[in-house]
Amino acid sequence: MIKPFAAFALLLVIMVFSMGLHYILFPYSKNKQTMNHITVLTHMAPISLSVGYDESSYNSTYPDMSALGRMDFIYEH
Amino acid sequence: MNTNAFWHFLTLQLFKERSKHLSVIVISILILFLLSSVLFISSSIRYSLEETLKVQPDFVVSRVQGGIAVPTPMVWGDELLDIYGVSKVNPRVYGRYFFEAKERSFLVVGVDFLEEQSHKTLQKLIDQTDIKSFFNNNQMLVGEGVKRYLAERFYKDAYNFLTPNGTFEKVNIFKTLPSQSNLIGNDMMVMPIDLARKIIGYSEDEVTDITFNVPNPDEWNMMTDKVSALHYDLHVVNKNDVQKSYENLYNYKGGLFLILFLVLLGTFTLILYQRYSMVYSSEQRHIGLLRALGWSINDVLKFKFTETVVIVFVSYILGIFIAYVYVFALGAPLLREVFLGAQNLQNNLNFVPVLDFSVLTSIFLIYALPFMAAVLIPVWRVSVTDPKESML
Repeated sequence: MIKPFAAFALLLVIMVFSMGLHYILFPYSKNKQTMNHITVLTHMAPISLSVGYDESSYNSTYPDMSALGRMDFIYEH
Repeated sequence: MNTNAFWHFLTLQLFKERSKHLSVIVISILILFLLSSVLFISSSIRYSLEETLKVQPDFVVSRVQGGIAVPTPMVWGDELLDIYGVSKVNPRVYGRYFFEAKERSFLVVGVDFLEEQSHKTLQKLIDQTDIKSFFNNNQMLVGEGVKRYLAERFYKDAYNFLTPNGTFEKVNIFKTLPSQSNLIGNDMMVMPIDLARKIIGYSEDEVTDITFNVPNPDEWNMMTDKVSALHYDLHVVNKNDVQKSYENLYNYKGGLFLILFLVLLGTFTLILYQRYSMVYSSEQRHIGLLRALGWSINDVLKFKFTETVVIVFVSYILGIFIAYVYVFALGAPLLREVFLGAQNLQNNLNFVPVLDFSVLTSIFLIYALPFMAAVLIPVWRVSVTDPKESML
């Protein structure tokens, strides 16, 4: 194996290793706890979608009628 | 052939013709990066939401009239408590508060802080020594997106809500919710339940919906029927429905990208096939030369197979690595907006790293097999022809 290729292969191994290290060392429990605390506090876990004003307030098919569902709660999907 | 000599020749050949391989590798990386990023984002969001399922209430009851959700009477909570097997009945008060002129909205959530559990959770969540000050005056906790939006409009410490009856309600910003909760809390304003009622416009005996738990999952179907029979305009949702919606969440977007990926991969494979099967190409001359030097068909195929495997592995590792860094380290700018939207508040969330190894293996196989076939079939065709003809 020629040297430049060996160096490139080593770089790839380092990339995979750093990815694995980040994956293992990520603070999963802290994230989980925070999400669970908010869910317990509010009794809900609605995904924070950045949807527009019109979508959540008006019925775009029949503008003279009120909207049938709201996009902000997963229960409504 | 000696293994060392084989690898030396192979790597030398790869480096000598690197400009030829570079275009193939770059296109492969782009395709793999795009598909992996989409799958990483959807699996991360799904994982984070599924983790909260364990602490979510088992049932949600609301009032629906003519297909439209209307305020639920508080007295329904007492009726639910009378059913044997029902526990932890909690009313929920929430709704969207609109900045009509600015076309932005926040999620106002009311919490009954007099409950012991809510009080304890609040203490754990905000890690504040002086928790008593939260209960003085009107205070609220806001998500990062809300805090940023209000600060940009000079509402750094408090905000004046315009209630439906035309009065203003000044509420102080007590603290920002932790950034780890941005997936659900970015646009949230958490405040005492009575204050939320005033802002949304509910009377004292009205709530948005009511949650309750049924500890025995075997009773869930029976309980759904029992609760539905209480009122004709009552709508029940249980946790199984929520779980199903989480499982399907973003599947269609992931599927759309998968179709695009397959179309791209098909085109790419065709281009590769065309390139390797071109008459009088340098590739053919090269194979003919190797055959003339005494290489067997098997040696040529082994050489080309290893060369292709190296290219496939290099592209795959680089594509996955770039996608990992882009999604889990940089927060997937631009692509994040495909999933979460960009019309309301900006959400700078950090995705929780989730690698689904079965999906990664599938991507590899879907990508590697057509790629190798597109290279090896023309190479085999050339290598079985007479070396003299190949070099013509």
